[in-house]
Amino acid sequence: MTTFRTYLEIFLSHRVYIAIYLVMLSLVGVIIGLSAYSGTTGEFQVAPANVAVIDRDGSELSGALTRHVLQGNNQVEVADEKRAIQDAVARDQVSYLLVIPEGWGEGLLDAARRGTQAPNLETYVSYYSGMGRLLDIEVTGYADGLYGMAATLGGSAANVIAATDDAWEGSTQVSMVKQAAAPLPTSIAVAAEFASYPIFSSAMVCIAVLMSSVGRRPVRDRRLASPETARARNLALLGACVTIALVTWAWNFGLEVAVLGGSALAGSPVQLALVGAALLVYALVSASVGFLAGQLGVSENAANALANILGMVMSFLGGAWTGLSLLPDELLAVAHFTPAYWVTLVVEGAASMGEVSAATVLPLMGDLGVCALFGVTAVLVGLVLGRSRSRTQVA
Amino acid sequence: MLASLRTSVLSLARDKALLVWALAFPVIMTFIFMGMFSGLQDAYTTVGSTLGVVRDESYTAAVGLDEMIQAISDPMSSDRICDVTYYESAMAAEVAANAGEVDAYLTVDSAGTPQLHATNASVSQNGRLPISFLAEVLDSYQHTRNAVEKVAATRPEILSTGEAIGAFTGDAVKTVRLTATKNPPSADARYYYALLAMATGMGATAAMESVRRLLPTAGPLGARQALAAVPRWRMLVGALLGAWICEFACLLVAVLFMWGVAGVSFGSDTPGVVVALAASSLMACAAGALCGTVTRMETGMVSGITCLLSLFTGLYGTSSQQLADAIEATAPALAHANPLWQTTNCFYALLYYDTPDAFLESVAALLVMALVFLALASFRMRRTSYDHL
Repeated sequence: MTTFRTYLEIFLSHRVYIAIYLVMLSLVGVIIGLSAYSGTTGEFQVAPANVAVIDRDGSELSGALTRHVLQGNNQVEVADEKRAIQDAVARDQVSYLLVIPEGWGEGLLDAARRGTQAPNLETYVSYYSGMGRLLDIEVTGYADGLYGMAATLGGSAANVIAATDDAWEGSTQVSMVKQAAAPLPTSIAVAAEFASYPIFSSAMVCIAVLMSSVGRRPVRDRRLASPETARARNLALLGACVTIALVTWAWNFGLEVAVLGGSALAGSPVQLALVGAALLVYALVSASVGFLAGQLGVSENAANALANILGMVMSFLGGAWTGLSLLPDELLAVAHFTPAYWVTLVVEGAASMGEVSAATVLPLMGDLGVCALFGVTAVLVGLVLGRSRSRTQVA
Repeated sequence: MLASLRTSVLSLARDKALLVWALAFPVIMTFIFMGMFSGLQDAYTTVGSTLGVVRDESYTAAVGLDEMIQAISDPMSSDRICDVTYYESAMAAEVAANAGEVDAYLTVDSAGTPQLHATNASVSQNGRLPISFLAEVLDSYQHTRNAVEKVAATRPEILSTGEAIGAFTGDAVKTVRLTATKNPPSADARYYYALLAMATGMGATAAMESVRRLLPTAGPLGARQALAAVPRWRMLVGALLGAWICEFACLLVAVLFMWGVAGVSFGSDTPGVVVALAASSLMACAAGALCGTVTRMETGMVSGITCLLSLFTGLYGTSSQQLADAIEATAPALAHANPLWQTTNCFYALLYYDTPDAFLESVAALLVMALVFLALASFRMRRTSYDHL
């Protein structure tokens, strides 16, 4: 017990590590969660895009088209200069930039009268090309409407616009399908998935720092010379690791629930508990990996590097940062061999659970079990290695 | 000075920490990114979803709706945005939606107005874009129908020829997609640049170790060096130069690897890339030297700080990129004060702009930061050396 307490004191004395890895990185996760869209409950709203319109025409028709495009989207002001357009598109400040060329309105009316092709509109699209395609449909749809009205009903530009706006009134209703269970807010799922990185790196770094100070030559010699058995010695260390993992988990998950999970606590407790369990298992796995690294005698620097690189690789491979649906199949096959994958699976599963029943919850529990196995393996290997290493060192 | 330089290079090469951070780390992550982005580019362009359609009397009665649904679900067409499953009743469709078989289902009311029902699961997993697409397509169907009905009400005679409908659906207005930037915007360049910036920041540990070895507090070796008959600034400059050369070389290899193996685009200005790397690694070395003079600082803290700063370059996935964009939009000064942001911006400027001013600004910012760090480091270095002598 004394050994265990000393370990915890060592852990607590490294305040800067705790401040950077544990406190700040997990705060970031919560901030990301806060900035995530969280209005899936109730009604659906079409995804708004950042749109800019450069109207070189200035006619009535181009004004109507501009009004229509900006409706329901976020307007971004972009000056009609090459550099400004480059900035806007390269930095993804606008997803869709529409340029209405000079004489477009007049050209459209002319073309409609003669039944020929109307002048083209120019667009710049940033790399989210899906959004660009969506707005393309919207823009060409409305412009085709203007063309059609001019071709059939005719009249002045104002008449054409009035007729088109009249027909373009209203939009398709999209409602969310009622499901038995209240869904988990997206913000908490996003924050929980991001949390895989701070949890892994903070648990592993803290443990590695602890192990390296315990493993310093004079300290290690004194420890090994004591009448303590290898089992008791390793268990105390393991206990300290588990405590660090619990602290990491409690801080991360507690923060998420406190800031983002108010409604989920009452509305969907089972899903929230699943997310909590997933993060807890992941924290324990991280601690066991840290324990293994310490038993292997990895230096503080190397452990630090390992914590960051492994943490990032796992979070990326596990789809925690981009979503599992974006991972290509080959990588998904590899991802099965990382604990982060199983955690993301549980978080995503809990977030989209249609109803709470044994049939939906149990498979997720199974995934958690797989994840836990990674931790058990690491601990067992660590214990065996620690035993044989200390023997050779004594001998 | 040469001797310090040599010692610095040798000890860094033996220590391996720098090799891990500035070379192995970007190479490993590049492999991961390569795997990930093979699907990412595709994922941004495909907006597909599975749509259930309730095929009842109202649906078949709605003019042109079935044709449109078939057009957007035709596997051969480039307009395909969904796969369609038909259901006999709204009840059956709802059951299928709750079971996760379809992302959304479509019903038509007695007035012929289509209505979309989306599932929470699909929105939380794939975002709002796929459903927004379906809604948009249905919108344009409905609007065109309104328009034709309006024409029919005012001038029924022109509807009989079919020309009226053709005027609305003939795709008379087209959009052409232009590129404003020197190279087309790419979603994955951002990840690679942020990764390079992180590797640069992590390289600061190398300079930190080199400088720390010179401190009188560093043990017998440090004490001997402090007493040596060589001006301190020479040792310092030598050690820093050594660290800088090592980090620069590692990063250069990493960039060559990204460019050669992963095919990451760095623009056409090769000397520019080299200058950007040199400036970034100089800044990192200067920062490392400053950290080295702080006795309580450990290498883990440097990497922790770098991890944190990397968040604001958008390394950690889509949500962190949104956060970084939001900060840049609301408080640009704060974003620009991040040295790692300046590093990524150098590469951005080379890739996207045809004028060099943005690139030069970022390089200048990096050099100013390096000078400030160096000045602070040398100030602190003087104090520690006199204190202990």
